[in-house]
Amino acid sequence: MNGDDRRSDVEFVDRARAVLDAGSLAPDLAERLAAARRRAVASADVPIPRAPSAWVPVSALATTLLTVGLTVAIDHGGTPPLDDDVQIATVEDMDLLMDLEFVAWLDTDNLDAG
Amino acid sequence: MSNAAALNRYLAGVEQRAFRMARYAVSDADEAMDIVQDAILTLARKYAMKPEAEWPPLFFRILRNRIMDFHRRKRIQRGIFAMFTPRDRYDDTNPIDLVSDGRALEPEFRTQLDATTQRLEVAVTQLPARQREAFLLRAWEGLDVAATARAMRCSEGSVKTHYSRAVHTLRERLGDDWP
Repeated sequence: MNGDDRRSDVEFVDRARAVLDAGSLAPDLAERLAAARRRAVASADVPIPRAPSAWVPVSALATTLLTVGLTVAIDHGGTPPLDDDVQIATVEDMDLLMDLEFVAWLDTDNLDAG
Repeated sequence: MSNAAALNRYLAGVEQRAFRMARYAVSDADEAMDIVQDAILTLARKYAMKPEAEWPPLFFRILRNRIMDFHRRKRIQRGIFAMFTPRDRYDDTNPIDLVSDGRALEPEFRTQLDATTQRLEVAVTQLPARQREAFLLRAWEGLDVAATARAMRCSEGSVKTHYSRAVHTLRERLGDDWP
């Protein structure tokens, strides 16, 4: 296809578009279409788009900082370090729990023996 | 602007062209009206949440599917009828190619059009279905090749081929004295 053919194709399509655009529907057909459209739009579940919440970037930043902090801590010390007091308290709590279980077992044993 | 307002604006701009496209394809104003109303309703109910830019190919794909459904139903009806009559020319034809010829434009519809428009519409109606779709979507609806391919469910290369053939066929049929 040479340039002239291409140009005349474009001109033909432009004319065809103009002729098609000039055609119109009978008023009753146009009104039936418009009524159908109004019903369809009314029945559509179309929420109004909302802007993202201001908390989204804040929470994203906090999550990032926490992740980076934990990563750095793990890289330098293996597991994340716990405070000594927390570790001691945890061990003591476990001892106390075992003691309580032992006492409870003794009570049960005594009842069975009795 | 809310999505509902945008949807209303889009459909208001496209509904009459869609009706005429459907009418070229099914030859019956009432059937064309039902098809377009169904396409409008489907777009609104199922795809209103999609980005506005996706509505044109979606809408015309829905419209095309409804037109194909219409031709399939007609073919089945003809098939049942054909059990009692000799085989006709539709037997080995793709449903979407079962478009009408120049008879498609009913007399009362023709009177509303001037001679130039009549000649073009008859020529468009006589195109093979795929060529007609490609021509109307590209030249009249203004969809680009990619959107037309999505609407027609075919490759972009096929769209270019159908469109090019449609333009040449129309130019040949309408002649140099048109319009």
